[in-house]
Amino acid sequence: MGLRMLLVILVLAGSARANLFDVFGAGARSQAMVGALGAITADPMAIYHNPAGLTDAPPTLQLGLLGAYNRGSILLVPRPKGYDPPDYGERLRQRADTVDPPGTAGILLGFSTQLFSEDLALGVMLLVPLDGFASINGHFGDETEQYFSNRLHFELLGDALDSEVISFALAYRLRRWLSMGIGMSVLVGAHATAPVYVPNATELTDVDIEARVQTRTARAFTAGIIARPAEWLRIGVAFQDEIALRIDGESELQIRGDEEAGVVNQRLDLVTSWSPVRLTGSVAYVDDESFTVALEGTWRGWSRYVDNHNQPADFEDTVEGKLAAEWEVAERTFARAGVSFSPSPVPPQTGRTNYVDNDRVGLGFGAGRNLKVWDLDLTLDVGLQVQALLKNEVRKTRRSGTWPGCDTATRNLCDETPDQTEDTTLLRAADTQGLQTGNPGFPGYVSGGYLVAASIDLKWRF
Amino acid sequence: MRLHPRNLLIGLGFLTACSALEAGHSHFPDQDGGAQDGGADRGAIDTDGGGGGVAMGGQWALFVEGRQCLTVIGAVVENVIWNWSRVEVVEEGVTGGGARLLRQHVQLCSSELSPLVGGLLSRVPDRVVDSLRVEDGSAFLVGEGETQAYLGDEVATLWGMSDFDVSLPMPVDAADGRVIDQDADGKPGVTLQTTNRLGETVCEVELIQRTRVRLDGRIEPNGMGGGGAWVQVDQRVLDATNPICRANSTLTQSANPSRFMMVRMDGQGGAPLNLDLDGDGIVTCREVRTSIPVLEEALQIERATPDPAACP
Repeated sequence: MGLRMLLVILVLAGSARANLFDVFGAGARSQAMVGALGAITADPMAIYHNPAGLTDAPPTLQLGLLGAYNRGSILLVPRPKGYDPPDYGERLRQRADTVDPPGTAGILLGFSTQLFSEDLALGVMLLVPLDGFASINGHFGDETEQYFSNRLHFELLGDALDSEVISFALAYRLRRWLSMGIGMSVLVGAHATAPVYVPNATELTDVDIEARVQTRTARAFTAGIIARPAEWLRIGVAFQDEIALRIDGESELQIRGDEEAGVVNQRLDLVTSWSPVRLTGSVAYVDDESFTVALEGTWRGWSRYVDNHNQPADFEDTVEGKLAAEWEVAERTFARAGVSFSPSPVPPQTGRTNYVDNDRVGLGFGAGRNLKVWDLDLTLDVGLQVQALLKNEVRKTRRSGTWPGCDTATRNLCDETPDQTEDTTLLRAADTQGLQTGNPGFPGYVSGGYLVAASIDLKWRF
Repeated sequence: MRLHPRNLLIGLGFLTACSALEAGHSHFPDQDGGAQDGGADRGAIDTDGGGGGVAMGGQWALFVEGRQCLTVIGAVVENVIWNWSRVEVVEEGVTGGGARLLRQHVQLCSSELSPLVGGLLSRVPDRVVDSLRVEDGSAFLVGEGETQAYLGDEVATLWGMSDFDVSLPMPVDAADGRVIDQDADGKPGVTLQTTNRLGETVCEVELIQRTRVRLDGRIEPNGMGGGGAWVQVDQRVLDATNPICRANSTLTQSANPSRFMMVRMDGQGGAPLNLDLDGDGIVTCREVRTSIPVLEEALQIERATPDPAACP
């Protein structure tokens, strides 16, 4: 019965999305130590950092509250004169800076227990954003965005953090000094078909819409090992496969019910919460459980990244580094701190696209205290982390010669209005000469600021 | 407590990030209805400099790709140097022969090198290039048409040495009175870092260097130019933190030619670029370094790959 339950859980298991954990770490202890827990994780949050750590976790129920305050900004360089495409002033929204995008907050639940023996452990974790489940906040990375928000968006932060996490894992202690853990991550996506009947093409508010939606899942494998070759040494390696939330489909549009004219199909292909394959290596020095220092490096395979509209973005793989320490400042009370550097995978955006991202430097602080309340073994952890978004100035490339048109293959800044040699009833030829673009990132932009995340966790070891 | 450079870097990172952001100014010039694609500057060229053609007086970015053969401990590789400089040009008028005389103040902003022997890579910190003197020189523009020949005098840059006749032999050790602590790090000469393929520091090298450059090319009416370059680098290692980096090298001319490209970058006189990001009227070396990807795309620069066959 227990094994069947476990298999069912593993099939339905886990998640690994661009989320608060990817940026700040999972739980208050992790936030204080900038996520550098790959070798020393020992509570339900091991499911995220290194599932092998579950074997070091006593049966625990964890409840937490976390929030992130976003002070990142994207300021747009004023547009020079003479570059507006026709009707540029009639966009639904005017081009505008992105200042202080909304933050996010969530409730954290974690549970770990031992199965059959002390060597086999199971863990479950859940992060529920207070704004609700399965948020999707898409945007275009190029000039198309002028017709929607007409502003720029942080590609990997901001809205991208507002997503849930559901994870499960199983861990086994192979030797006294060696543990391993595995899990499987699943995201729920959908394929949607929307038949639409338009009785009168001139009256678009009066349409009949049907919907057929099939949910489907994306799965990713997670695994990790932790070795303890000496009492004072911990070595951890963790792997997580690539995963993304994808929603695709099409609308079948019948105008006036004229089946002779056929059906117009409109494609939809959205990808959000793309999380790259990551490989983490950690080493920690542990001095009699009263002082710990951990060093961690994580490689992330961003070169396979696709944007919200499933287009390759030519990002670069990154390696981020973290250093953290935890020490006992009084009986049953620990202080924690850490520093991290996360390079941006986004190359210089001198062309058509505006993927906004920054190198980040993080500083974490926090504390934890073990308590005894009504014979219950409790631990209260708090964590605070600040991440500076190092200033990034982007300027579009000025070129000599003819500007390319905005076809699919063009990577350079592109001309949205082909040059005309003669005036037409709609357009003066003179207004079409040179570059005309409504790209919100033209002629450049600056991004920077900082993020602040805070957490408080209560753990009950039963 | 000693202030470690890394702590300083992190602190500066926070200060930079948390300081107020400013969007800056557009580096695209205003475009009127009659402009052609990418050629809006043609009708806006400032010809006040006299002689007709390109208005040279202003701030230019200069890219020099120098190619040499480097011999060290018996191994030979082609070593490519990529230098970015800011050049302030002042037009001095027209000579008796009809050529336009240009006074130039050349400041090196960035210097990168291709890998050395054994995959080692020499890195030039910004603080070193920022400590170098601004060198004065002159050049001539010759020709009647819109495209004019550009002939530059030799400009010598001394690294870790006080001013002296560049035709004299280089100092041989740190005891020579001409050797100075150029980058103010308490060590003679300048200090460069040598890393391995993984980016790990192998050693720090104290050295002196003399770089001599002559340019011979053309300036186009769109504010861009380029041509051939003669580049001669003489270098002497004074000391290193690792014996592997102490060996002196011999630098000779490569069979492959060196080259230069330049572009006016102050947004004035028909300049195709305006890299004055903070709008203070001066394009600083920091702004040049920030804009290197923009410059290389604007000039469509493809950096050369070291060619072993050029150094038999």
